[in-house]
Amino acid sequence: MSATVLVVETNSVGNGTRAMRHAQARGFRAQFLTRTPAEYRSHEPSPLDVADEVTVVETFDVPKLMRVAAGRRYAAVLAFDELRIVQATILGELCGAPFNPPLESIVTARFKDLTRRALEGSSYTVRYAIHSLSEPPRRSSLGYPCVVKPIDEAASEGVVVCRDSEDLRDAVEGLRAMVSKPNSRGYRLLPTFLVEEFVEGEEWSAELVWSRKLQDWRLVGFTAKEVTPEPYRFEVAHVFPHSFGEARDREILRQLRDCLRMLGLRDTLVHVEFKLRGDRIVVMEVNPRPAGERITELVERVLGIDLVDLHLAAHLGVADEALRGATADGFAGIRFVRPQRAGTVERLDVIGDAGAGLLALCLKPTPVRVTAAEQPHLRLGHVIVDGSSPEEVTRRLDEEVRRVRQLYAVREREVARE
Amino acid sequence: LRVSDARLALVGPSRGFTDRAAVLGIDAFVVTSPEKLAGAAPPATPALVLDYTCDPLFVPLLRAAHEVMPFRACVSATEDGLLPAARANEALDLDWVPVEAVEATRNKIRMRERLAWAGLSPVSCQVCRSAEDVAELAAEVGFPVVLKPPDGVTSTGVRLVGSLAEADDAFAEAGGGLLLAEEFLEGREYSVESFSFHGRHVVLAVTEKRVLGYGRGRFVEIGHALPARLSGDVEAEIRRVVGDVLSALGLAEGPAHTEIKLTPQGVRIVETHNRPGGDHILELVKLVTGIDLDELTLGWAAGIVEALVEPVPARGAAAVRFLVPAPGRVASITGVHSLAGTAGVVAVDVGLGPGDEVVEVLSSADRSGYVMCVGAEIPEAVERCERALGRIAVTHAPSSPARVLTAV
Repeated sequence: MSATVLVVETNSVGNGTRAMRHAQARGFRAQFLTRTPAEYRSHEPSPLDVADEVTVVETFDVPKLMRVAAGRRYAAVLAFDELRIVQATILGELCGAPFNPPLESIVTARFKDLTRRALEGSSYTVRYAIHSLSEPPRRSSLGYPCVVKPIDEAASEGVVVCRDSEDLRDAVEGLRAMVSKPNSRGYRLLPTFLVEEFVEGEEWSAELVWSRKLQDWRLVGFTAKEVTPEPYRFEVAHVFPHSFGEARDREILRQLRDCLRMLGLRDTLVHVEFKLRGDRIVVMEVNPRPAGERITELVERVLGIDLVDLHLAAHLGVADEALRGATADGFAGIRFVRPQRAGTVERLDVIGDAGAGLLALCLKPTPVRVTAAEQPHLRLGHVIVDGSSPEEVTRRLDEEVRRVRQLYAVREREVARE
Repeated sequence: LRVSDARLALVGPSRGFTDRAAVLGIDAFVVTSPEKLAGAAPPATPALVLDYTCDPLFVPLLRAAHEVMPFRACVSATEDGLLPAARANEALDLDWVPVEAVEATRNKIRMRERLAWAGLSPVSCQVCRSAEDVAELAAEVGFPVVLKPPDGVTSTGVRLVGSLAEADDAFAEAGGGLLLAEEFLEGREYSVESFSFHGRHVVLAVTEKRVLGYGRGRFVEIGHALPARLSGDVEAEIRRVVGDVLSALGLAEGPAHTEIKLTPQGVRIVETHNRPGGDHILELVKLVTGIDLDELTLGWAAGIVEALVEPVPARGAAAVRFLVPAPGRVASITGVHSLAGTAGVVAVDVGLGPGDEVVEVLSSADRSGYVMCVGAEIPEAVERCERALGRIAVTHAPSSPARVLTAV
């Protein structure tokens, strides 16, 4: 029987499913672990159909996972969301995956307080303080503005920029509410949080992969991101690749490699989010997995490489081969269609003709119910375009999103019933 | 203009408003109710004394006065005078804020309707006659939802309800009638002071608002501070949206106080009024920009001041924080007098003494006083307010637990 690649759950855009497809294309069997198969009912294709073997197990429970994997050998074990990456690495270690990343480094990257500790003393980190919800600070010892963030949540949830001690108290109360019940994926946050120094300026991300040939990280590319204004900073658009200028790109890569060394990471693919303070990078977070937000699709369009396959290749020790011959061709960007308000979106109409460079305009099937609580995070769809420059891509994204008309159920007009 | 041409009818003015008109050289004709007369104007001021909110003689008598001593406009800075003033302007064909615009700002249902037609500030809402109607909206936007009396002011009667049972309570409290249910808007709250010059809207100040926690589902403002800490982009967006909203509502002259929330989806309008903000915001604006909104209103209506071309840059920051002690009978209160002359403290007013009963804060009227401070920036001004409030020690009578209370 051929060797097996094990995938622990998949994220909402189906990276786990794609990883299994790539594994099969590379001649491996694919096994899929999930706690709730029903969660994937709407996935097309379903990971349950793609996998050669599906095992239902509580994927938050390490001993139960180990029991399932005990006695088996895996070529690689992968996960695509923060909540399962540590488990996947433990299983890789248990089951002799030959190019498994070091477990301690994965734990360090997983929890933001550990990441800060590992980078302490370097110029790549910010001043920070670790606090418990049982004894929250009344004031920030770092001054204002400061940033409050949970140490183990993903996608910037619960991250708040505080301007003063009143904001800080509000942010702590917000965290308390988040911790009081499991999140949408069934995970209960730790009651520990960071208060960090706020770093002004834009944020970028970098995709890097471990090269066994170089015994160092190779840069796949930088991505420019657009976020909503303070204090929320929800990501609304991305453009790939971004260049800071040739010499600066080299220097930023040098610093990123330095950081990743300090964290002890290797044998995987990482998505690093960072800001710039002068000519020094300041690391916001390090995720040992492909980027979310469909950045993988932008990379695939520009470089012809699927980051999911590259992630798999890194875990199989063949990332250098997977990268061979990849050269950038133009630029690509994504912008998300966000609801204008809560309510039921009855129709999403696209008006006018598609502009040049449109690669995808995907909208959710209507009607879509948008609750007030979900509204900030929820997306009604996205557009992906390409172009010959980042400016052209940004302009095309704006034009395409403007073509989408959101038609809500009559709630705004119902006021006329008076 | 000759000064004698600068005559205004002031509807329901405070004495301060009337006096300010006099200082500006404006001939004031005061319209006030019998009970407000003494507090509205000096004895020699020509006045029409009747209940201007409902007396059918209001407009005919004002017209008669207008024939003898023509006004440039009828102006009001008080809540109950805004609509009568607009009606008078319309009847006398005077150019100020039209009735339709005042109604669109006073009635929250109409405001949402107008904004929806104009495609501005989308907010899901529904006019509700009962908790069942609220359930219909909640089925779409989820709980909690906000319930508002259509024509309420100062957040009175506004409730955040988290369930059908709470919605039932809100209808019981409202004593029947309609309530407007709206999606709960997540985000920081601000208020925007603007002044419109022939349809050109100039934002004079954006104020940060602090609201007492939503624990009991009430929205009580416990602090304001300005100039708001905003990035240039966000501030520009606020100016743009507020300007568009005022235009859409037909408000082309005079002051406006617009309450907004900065949500992750952008700027959303909570409500707007064609008067300056209350709650001491007027004083804060004057402290930081030097602009007296009452003077500007009177001067512009009388045609004796130039239009502002652009906002006045802020000098420093100012904040007000309200005293919100826990409920109970007050045994003693100390520390108030020691605040005079304290660095940055501009005003202190604590309307609380031994024997007074502090009630649970469910509306602005339940607050026990305030401290106003200035500082180089908001954190300093707020810090000074907090420190000042911290020096005010309220002890309770033995029937309730004795403790030292400060503002929340």
